[in-house]
Amino acid sequence: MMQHVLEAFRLVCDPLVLGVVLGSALFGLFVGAMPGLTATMAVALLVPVTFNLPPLPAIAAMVTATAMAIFAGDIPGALLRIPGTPASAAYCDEAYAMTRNGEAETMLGAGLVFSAIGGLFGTVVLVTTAPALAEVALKFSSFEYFWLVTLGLTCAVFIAPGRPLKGLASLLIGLLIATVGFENPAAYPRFTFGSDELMSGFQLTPVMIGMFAVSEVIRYAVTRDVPLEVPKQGIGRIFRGQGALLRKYPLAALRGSALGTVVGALPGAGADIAAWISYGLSKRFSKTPEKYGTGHVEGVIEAGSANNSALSAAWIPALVFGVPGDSITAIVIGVLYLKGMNPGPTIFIENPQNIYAVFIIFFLANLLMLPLGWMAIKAAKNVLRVPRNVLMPVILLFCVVGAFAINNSIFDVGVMLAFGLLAWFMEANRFPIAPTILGLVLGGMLEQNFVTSMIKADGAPGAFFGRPIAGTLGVATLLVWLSPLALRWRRGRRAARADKVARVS
Amino acid sequence: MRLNDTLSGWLMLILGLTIVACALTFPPMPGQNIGPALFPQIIGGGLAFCGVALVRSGRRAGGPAWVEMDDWVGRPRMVFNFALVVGALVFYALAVDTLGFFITGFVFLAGLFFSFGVRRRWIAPVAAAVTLALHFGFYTLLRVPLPWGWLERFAW
Repeated sequence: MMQHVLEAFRLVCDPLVLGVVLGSALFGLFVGAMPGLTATMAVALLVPVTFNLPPLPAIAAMVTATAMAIFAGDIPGALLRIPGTPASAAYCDEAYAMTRNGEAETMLGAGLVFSAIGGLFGTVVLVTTAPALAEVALKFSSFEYFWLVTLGLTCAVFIAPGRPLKGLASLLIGLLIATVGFENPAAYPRFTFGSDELMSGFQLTPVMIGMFAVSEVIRYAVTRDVPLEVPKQGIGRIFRGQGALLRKYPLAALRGSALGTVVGALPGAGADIAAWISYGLSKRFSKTPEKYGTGHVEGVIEAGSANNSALSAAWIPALVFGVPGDSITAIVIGVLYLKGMNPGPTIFIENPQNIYAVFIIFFLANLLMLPLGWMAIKAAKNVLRVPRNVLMPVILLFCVVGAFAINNSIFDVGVMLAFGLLAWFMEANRFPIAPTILGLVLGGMLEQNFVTSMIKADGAPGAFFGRPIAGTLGVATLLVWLSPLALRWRRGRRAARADKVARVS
Repeated sequence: MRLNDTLSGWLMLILGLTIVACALTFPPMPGQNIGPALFPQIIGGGLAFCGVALVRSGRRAGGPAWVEMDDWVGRPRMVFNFALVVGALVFYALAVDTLGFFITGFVFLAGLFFSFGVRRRWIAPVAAAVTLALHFGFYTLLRVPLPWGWLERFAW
């Protein structure tokens, strides 16, 4: 183990890796701070750029860029009341209220310090639990994997914002897209419509660039561009008073980090949902809930650490089982396969030094966040002046070249456009995107494990519950699916009883 | 553009049933009860179920319009912008092999800059600089074979 850790340090100290970390940190800070550009988009745009890099720097770029972007989303939230990424939306009004109270320094400092604390917390959990979980996962057969994937997809449907029905529809669309091509247990080409390009299914990268980047450009194109009113006042010493805040609200930081870790590790829910839940809980448990909304730092601390810890924790299921914890790790899993670092428990045995190196990058990124984030806050006024009417066309051309670069095929540019329109349309009609992505990434794995299990079980469904872990996961999955029915039944009975009482009196 | 839930429900129902019908034509796996048709059938069935449920809830909620246009549809400028983004991508896909990356990229950017209201005198220089920078990054550094088209003679 020790020699693997030393080897990992040697891998990280490679000038190429360190250079990539620095470059992607600046990229992530910029993307996060620009309203309308998200952390997921940063990763989607990084895929073609890192295509020719060795595995470690490619992964390092994604880890660093997303950590920075989720923090940087707080900056325009505080200065302009526009969240830089959806993960900062939960406490954006609170942050802006603090700025109006003249506490912009405290707000931005708290955003930075507690983002780093949350990120480090999530990383510690990732580092300690992932190898242990991998030991367990080594014993998994197709039954366990089938239920694990099913449970993951179930979580994605029920955690997604909005109605579960629409989440389910989104998931099915993703699964449907995953069936295209001949890469299924029967090796029969499905839904290819005679196209050679579709034989191996939809390539993940152009689909992701379309869904996360092109859709944002379309959204920008149809909304009137209001020039951002960047405040003129300078930002002073942001770190002043942060130690006192940490001493005053240790519980908020801890609760936010822990909740973010759990939400992040659940498939389908990432930093944005973690922040919403965390902000709500913070208000409920606070001693001074009446101060929320008037520029109170407590909720910012809790939700600000939650979104960054969710980001790290999403890697736990992604690395151990190949089941992504959020949209970002869904893209990362695709990259891992491209680089020959197939996710799953064996990655911890075959490539331990690479995994340890990824862990070190996580620590490095969250520590680098403090100095670089400080610089980003200082530069924010100028960064936010970058005109979006120039930026958006440039991003669109970048998307085109990036989608083309994966296979040098114009067909992929068409795929990108189609999925950009699909994602934009779904979002406009309140169909959540995350379940679609998860269905798309996990569809093949789900079918493979289902068919293998069915063949092993010889058609007897009881075998799916025959092993202890598989049985537990299976029952848990069924319970989640039955919960809406049970809730409706209870509500119906309560209504009937109330009705009866009303009639008697 | 927002569709009434009833309408999206009907569309989903049709899609689901079409998938099930398509999947019925898939051949079985020799010697197995389950073949390549099973998964698409489950998915198609699920979509049909969601469709019916959406139609039901859409009926209950009631809605004035089948298709509710966002407010931007009323503004010709925004409709134009939308068509332009889609059109720019289609233009790129159709033209890049003939015209080459430099010309296509420049026209692509200049057109979008123009309609997004970038100041006139900045359009040409910024479009040229960005096209060159992207070409340098992807063609020279990342070795992506961006087509030269008409400028083949000047290729480096």
